[in-house]
Amino acid sequence: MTFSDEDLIDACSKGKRKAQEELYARYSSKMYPIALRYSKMQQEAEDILQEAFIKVFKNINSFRKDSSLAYWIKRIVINTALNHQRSKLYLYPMVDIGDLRNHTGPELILSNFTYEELLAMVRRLPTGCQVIFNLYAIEGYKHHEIAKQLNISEGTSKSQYARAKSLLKEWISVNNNIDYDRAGEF
Amino acid sequence: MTGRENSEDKFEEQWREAFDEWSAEPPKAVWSEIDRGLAYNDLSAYKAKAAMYRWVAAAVVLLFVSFGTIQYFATSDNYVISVAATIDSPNPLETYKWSLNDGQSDFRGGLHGGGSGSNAVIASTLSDENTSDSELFAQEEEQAEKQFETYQVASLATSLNTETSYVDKHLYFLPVYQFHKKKKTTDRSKYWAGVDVGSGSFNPNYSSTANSLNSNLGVNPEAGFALNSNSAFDTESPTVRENMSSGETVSMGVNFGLKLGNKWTLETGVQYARADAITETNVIIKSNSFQEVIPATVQGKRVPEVEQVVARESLVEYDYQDVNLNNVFEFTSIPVKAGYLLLDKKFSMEINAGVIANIYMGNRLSTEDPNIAELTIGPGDASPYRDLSFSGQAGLELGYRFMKRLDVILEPNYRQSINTLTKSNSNFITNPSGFALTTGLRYNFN
Repeated sequence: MTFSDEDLIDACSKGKRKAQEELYARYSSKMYPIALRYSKMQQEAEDILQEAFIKVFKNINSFRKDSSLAYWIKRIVINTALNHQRSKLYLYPMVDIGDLRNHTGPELILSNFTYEELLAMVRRLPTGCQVIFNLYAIEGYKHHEIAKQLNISEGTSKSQYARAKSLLKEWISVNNNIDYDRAGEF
Repeated sequence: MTGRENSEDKFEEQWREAFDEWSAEPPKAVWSEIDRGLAYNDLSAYKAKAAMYRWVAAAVVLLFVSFGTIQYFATSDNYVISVAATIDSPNPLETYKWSLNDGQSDFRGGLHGGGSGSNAVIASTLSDENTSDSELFAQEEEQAEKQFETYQVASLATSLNTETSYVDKHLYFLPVYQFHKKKKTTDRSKYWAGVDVGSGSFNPNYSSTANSLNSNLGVNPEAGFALNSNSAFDTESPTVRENMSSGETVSMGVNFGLKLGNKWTLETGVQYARADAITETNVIIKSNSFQEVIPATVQGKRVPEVEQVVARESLVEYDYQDVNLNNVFEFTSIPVKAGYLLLDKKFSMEINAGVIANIYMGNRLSTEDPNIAELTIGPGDASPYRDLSFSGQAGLELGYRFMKRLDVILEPNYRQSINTLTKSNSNFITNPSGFALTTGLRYNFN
């Protein structure tokens, strides 16, 4: 028997452990990759997921149904991950932003990579770059939103992202054995 | 997540699409850890409930002990107002009746005009015949009602009903005290209200200028005084040795307070206070009108009923008998006190001082000896006690916040009367004082 999200929320708000387990089973597989993207090691991702779901069950009474449950849980996972990374973040402008505006090239082909390979590249990024890449490229935040959330300047966010983008392109091009800079000249 | 700034760049879109579809099962150990964390939260909640139940139980015990103390002192079931003299009544505490012939109209008038008899219910029936006192006691009650004027003083019974409610709840006794987390301390709220009960000593600090039957009760008979019925009478008034010794006090009430600034508080409330003391006297008066003897105490001097009953005797018969009368003073008190917070955390400490307005409600003098009349000294013009007196109070209030909005309070304090409890024209003086220990619960509104 499957329960609707509303039924699960009601049961979870009453502390029903079976409902909590059901809700975890329903959403953990979508949230675990998010935790993996924001962490360096698997154990850290598991800690983030664990802490996030405890927050979910503890605060489920405050869930307002003006957004989806999945989106609400995802926000909690991201915030928990940011709290984990915050102490490690030493964010500062890395390059001149003006030099990065024309940093374009031929279209990347990510479909040649497995999820694990893409994840490995993201986790290989410096911590600051990793966080801002996730927030900007994957989650879709704007730089001024990221700056406000991480208490950094918008320029720092942009430069960190540019650095992340540059590194990722470099690693992808190496793995694809394609020199994108040259290709751009053709 | 409101969109990216460079929609032309497909770099971000590819990454987002790549991860959007990705799902991965976390290790089973993650749920085990979550389950353990949730269980710990549940245990913490149960422990908090257990702690609350402990405090509630302690408060209930405290309240019952306080009420029990009050009940203990309330040894009599009925409270007699104004007059406590019985003739031919099987139960002196229930109904009081006596009869007078028409020649004693002064006495009748005195009863009707008695100032302290405001709470008494008096019914009278007039008769046409005159009858002597000796006949009066020989007749049956039914016959007496036909031939004599009959006064009936009804008693007003007081009762203290306490109701308790019991809610069947499971108590979880959890061996998890090692997980106890210290809650963040919170400052005292701006407004609060509470209930309190207290108990302590009551020293009346009694002194009397009266030392004779004449001065104590204002007895001035035409013929004189006679020691026992067979003794010859004497015009000299016998010497009376009277004293009032210390007893105990109990109180209960409600209080309200507010915080003035960071350190100062102002508190008031309403309290019912009851104080006990022992009046010792060595003389009793016998009257043909009363079955009981009247103790010679200066407190009864201005009670109109007693005063007039004694005054109408041409020869006052007395006897020496040591009598200990239990005084039960009752007050409605309105304290107003200011406090200074020495400590304002989860545990709070405050020194305070203020003034208490005591509204006198009455004093009942009684003994366990059924042959001694009971006297009640009510408020009013005829009373030797002030209707309103003031006393000062100083104390140290200790508080502990055991729930988010609830404090338990414990306050040792000392009280000393500012003006005398007695009127200036009374033949005796009392300046009560005493230590007390007050405890209670306080609810903080913000």
